[in-house]
Amino acid sequence: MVICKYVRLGHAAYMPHVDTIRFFGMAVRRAGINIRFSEGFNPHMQLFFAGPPPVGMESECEYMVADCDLSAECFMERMNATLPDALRIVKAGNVEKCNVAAIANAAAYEITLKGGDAERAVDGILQRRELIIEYTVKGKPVQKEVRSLIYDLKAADNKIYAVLSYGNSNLRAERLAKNLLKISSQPVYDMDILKKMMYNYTNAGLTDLDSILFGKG
Amino acid sequence: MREEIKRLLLKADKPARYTGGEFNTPDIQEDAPLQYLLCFPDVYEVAMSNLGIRILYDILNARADTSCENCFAPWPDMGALLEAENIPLFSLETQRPMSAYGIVGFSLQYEMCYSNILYMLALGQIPFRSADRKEADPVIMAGGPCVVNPAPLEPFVDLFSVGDGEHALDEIAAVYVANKRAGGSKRDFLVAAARIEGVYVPGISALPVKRAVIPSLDDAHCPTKGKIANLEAVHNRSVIEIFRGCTRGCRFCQAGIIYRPVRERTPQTILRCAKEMIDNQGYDEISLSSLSTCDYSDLRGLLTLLKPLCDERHVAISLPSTRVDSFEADYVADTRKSSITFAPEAGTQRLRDVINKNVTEEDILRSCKYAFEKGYSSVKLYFMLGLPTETMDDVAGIVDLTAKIKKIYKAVSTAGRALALGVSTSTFVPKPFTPFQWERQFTPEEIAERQTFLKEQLRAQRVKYSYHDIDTSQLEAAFARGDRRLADVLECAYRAGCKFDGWTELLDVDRWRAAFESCGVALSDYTREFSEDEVLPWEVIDVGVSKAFLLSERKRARAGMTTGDCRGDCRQCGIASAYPQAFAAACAKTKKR
Repeated sequence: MVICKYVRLGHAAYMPHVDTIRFFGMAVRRAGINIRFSEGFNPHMQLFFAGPPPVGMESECEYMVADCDLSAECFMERMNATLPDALRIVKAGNVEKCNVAAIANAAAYEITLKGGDAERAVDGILQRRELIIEYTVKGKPVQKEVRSLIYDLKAADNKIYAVLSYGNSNLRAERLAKNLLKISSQPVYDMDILKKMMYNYTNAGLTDLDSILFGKG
Repeated sequence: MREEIKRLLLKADKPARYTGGEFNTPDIQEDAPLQYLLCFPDVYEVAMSNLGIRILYDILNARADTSCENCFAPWPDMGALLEAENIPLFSLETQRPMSAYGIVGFSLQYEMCYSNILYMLALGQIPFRSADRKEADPVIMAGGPCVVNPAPLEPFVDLFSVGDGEHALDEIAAVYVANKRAGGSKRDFLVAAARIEGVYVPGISALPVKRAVIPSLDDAHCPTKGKIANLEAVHNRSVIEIFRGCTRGCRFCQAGIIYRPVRERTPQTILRCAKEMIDNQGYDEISLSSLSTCDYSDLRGLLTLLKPLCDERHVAISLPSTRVDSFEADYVADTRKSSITFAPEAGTQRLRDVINKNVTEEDILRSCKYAFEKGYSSVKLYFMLGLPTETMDDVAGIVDLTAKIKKIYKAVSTAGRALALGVSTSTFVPKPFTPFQWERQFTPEEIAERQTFLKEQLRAQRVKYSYHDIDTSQLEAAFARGDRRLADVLECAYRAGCKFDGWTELLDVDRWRAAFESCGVALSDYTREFSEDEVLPWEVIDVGVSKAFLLSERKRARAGMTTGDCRGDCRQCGIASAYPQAFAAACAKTKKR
């Protein structure tokens, strides 16, 4: 098995996740890589992806596992020869088996505001015991307490840097940022969101996912 | 990505339609003398599945003096956003506005997309009518099968490219660049372009304009490095055109006439294309496309050649419209396929003879038996309603046929589940340059009677029945056989909000009716029977098949006489004298099957 970390930038951030998965399958075929197929009625390539990132969010840290016998270096080289910059593999490692979804439970985001004051937006939030945000799901308003899902929050150069709970109790960066603007009495400006890094979060703190998956260095 | 466009993306459904960045996008030279915007007046997923524009895109981009980009019709939600923000419609590749291009070309594959030409021009902030456009505005061009009758679009389009576009567009580009370098005007360009084979410039070209025909498909460009759609397209697969044209001579079929003569690619060329496509695209399926794929002269040899490569790379071969009882079907049959489709078109042998659809009931039943024995459990049947001379007996023939198929299934099926049998009907639309070009279209009342009959009869048999609405078919008939008066109707309908008329859920028939009325044009003028003496609006074009041939085929239809396949047995349709080179290279060589 090969585990890969790839980026999802520019136009690729708008591709539906299912099409991104299909796209990697096509890249495997272009590269002529011999990957395992599932058995059964409708065989398909054994490529596994972590959960779908929201449409429009760029990311420097998506993960994928391919069931093949190539060395990680070779897999990465051959795939990158046929992948666009927007969906490039940046790290790869050989593993016995791997379930990224089971260990990734926090993520760092860089939120670039197209107006307003980022420092004002984050001011005092970490000191709060409670933070209730509002958003709509399928047209219905929802209120949610999210303070415990925020592990870090700061601002610089009119960007918000946030480390948020990811996965089962997910806090979407966009939802948080919009609420932070509202709470600080600012208009809800447009924003670009980039997912920078994934972590495993325990009581002991945050561990960078790459060091777990690929080891040090 | 342009910031103001990026801001709109998340407000629109399926933003990946508008971002560009598709894999295999070539480098665009923004300073090339000819900036060509190749448009498809339908939504991204449909446009990205079209083979024609892929071919032309590559041919233009292969020229050192030309760059070609794509632009498709934004879905109405995005269209409204662009309008509200006053952002002109832009290309996918560089996101420059439509007005930045020297030529804006539209590929017209079906009449129901005509309102989308105006929709795109409006979003591009370009005047609709040639007469209203200035020297600095782009030249508006149209091509594709629809333009064999350019009349309804003449006021909007400066230049039509009729027939095969491969050579014509290359020459148009050359003439454009030469004229630009010489400091010529737009009119100078149009006058020079009118001399190119297949080019019709209203008001300038000498009439009739002869359709462009490339003598050989084997030497023609096969796009093997086409852009990969950012989101699932209608056809998610590599497509190789294995031959162009058709030798069957179905009398309702326009494509069967206007793509004559048949020109085949050799198996070796197809193999090379397939290999390049797998290396460059990586789809899990390759479709061997044509109007009638099982008529390829050496399909068995071709499949034998392709199979090892496709197996090795885990690629399925798909053959559209293949008989299931053939050796070939065994070759491509895979576990995913559980459904077979037939298009008998008519319910009785009498009517099938009239339309020259040379499929017998025996053929269909034998194929079904074979498929059922193999474990197939789903059959779809396509028919047309309102064919010339059709009576209710012919419609009842559809019901008889489904009953027979059910009986066979009961007797031989190995699938162990109930048969899923579906019947789908469309309404006959008389098309220019077919033997049925003079025929009337049945009235909505007559068609409704037939649909109601089938609904009741087939429901009793527990056969699933679906049908196309008659409104679409009536409009299609009007624009297929339309004259210049329809230009006003089209503009009026667009201004009233009509667009995406090919999408049943977006077609607004009442607005169309109002447009006809306010322009004082009767829809029935176009659905009536045309007289053999009248001058037809599309006679400005000569597709190379003689009127005498079409008339004799019409006569034979009325007499219930079939005309056999023309492979190796020329039926004197006129191609031999109109295109002697292509005829000698293609027809004269095709073997009788």
